[in-house]
Amino acid sequence: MQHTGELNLSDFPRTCGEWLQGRGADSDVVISSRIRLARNIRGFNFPIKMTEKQKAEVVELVAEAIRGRALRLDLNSSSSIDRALLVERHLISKELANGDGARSVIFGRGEMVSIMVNEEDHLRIQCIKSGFDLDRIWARLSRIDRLLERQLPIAFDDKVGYLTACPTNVGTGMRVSVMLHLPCLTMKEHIRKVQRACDSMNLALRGLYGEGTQALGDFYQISNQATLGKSEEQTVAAIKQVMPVVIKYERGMREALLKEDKAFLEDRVERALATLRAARQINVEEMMQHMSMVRLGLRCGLIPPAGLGIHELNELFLLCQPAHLQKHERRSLTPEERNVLRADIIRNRLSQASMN
Amino acid sequence: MPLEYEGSGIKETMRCQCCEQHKATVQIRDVENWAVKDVILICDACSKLIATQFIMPHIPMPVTREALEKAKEAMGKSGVAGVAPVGDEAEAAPDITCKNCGMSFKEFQKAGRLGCAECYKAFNETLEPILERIHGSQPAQHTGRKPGAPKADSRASVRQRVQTLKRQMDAAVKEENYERAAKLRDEINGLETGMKE
Repeated sequence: MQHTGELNLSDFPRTCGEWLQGRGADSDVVISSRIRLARNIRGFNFPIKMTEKQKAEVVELVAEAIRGRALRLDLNSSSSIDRALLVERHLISKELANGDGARSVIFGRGEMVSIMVNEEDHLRIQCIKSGFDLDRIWARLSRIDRLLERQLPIAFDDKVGYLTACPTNVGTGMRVSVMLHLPCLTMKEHIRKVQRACDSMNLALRGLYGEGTQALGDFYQISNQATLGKSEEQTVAAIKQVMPVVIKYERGMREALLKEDKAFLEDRVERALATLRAARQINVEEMMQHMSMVRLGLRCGLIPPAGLGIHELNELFLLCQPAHLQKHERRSLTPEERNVLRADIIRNRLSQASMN
Repeated sequence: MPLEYEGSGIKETMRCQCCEQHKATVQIRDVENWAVKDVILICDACSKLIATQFIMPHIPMPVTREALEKAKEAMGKSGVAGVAPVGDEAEAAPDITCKNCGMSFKEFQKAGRLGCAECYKAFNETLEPILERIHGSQPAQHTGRKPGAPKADSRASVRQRVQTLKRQMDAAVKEENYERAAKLRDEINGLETGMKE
């Protein structure tokens, strides 16, 4: 099968997508914003009830519809490290990576837009961007959705809207999610209040890796629960209504801590930085905990940003994920080997940064 | 929010926290971060009332105190509170199968996913209250955007046209109307050649 564009995954361990650039509005608290749409093609069963031939046909139809506009990768024929690499870059879901049969991902060079084919639904179209910028994301995604509609008949019902494999997505098929860094609200145990605010607005608050996960490294996701009964604009508006409150809450907590207990904050930040500088082996969880504190220190001006900015920190964070490390080394590594290599890379980068 | 659903460990004297009348028979544990946050005890009748929550074990639906209060309120209005326990029939899944993809409702319960677009019609009656509950929307009515029609010359449109013609051709053969079948075959061949180019 041909690739729509040239794709060299070997370049990936040296770069990171736009969503980790640390740019955009409110980027002191908001890491990234994302919207995804679930769509199915009329005339085909949903993936769970499809034959292998039909799956291949859908992959082909979608590729045809997007011809020449983006990079395409068939996951059926790619290695498990490459698939994990795409998961770490948020280009595909774990479910698509671990699935079977004909399935593909199509994405733009900036890695802002990606389309998963034959995940739970025939199409999962997503747009992800750094900072808090849902309007621009929705404008872009909406255009792509309209473009696809001109090429593919979409399964739709006047009563329940866009038809999806899981009834939790039916209606708009739209999931809006914002990834937040809330270290001070976590420290002061105020997350429960955020949880309650989200509950009352029928929004979900989750850890970094979705449902049922712990909030690793003080990262959280807020997303809409309902997809039926509210328009796309209303769904975006609901998130836009609650987000400034959460952002202000975290900022207020940071300011208060800086004013009232600067020594405590400085201690946490400096210890984290010292650990990252000294560690000889480190796993992802510990790295994320310390990076969370370093990020906070940079944002609060507790650490001089000498050569180390949020962008560099994000890049380091991505490049130290398991699949990225293995792609970088061009071989598979045991978890122990990865922990050593991860610590080496972090130490190197941080010592370079402090010399600049 | 993963939910655990258990039917044991309830003492004889415990009353349903929903209707406050019947003996509690069902225990719902509201779990967060692997720790039990809240335990709610209800009776058979009330569990039937909020049964839509148990139909889909794969779809996390909040069974919080708040949800309970809402159920209580709804019961007060409709006066269902006095209904006698109904036993096992509340648990039974409807015996329906989607004619298009062959998925049964039981299979859907297990997988948490529907097999095709037609399943929405096949399971409509059971699905509608579930949709209302998941999305907190009554009635379950879509209000967002609608897809436009694809271009007539798009590959997908041509493919669909071919499928329709093939069905018509098979019907013509059955009716022994070979002249019509031949015409249809030529049309199909023409379209298929166009698709390959």
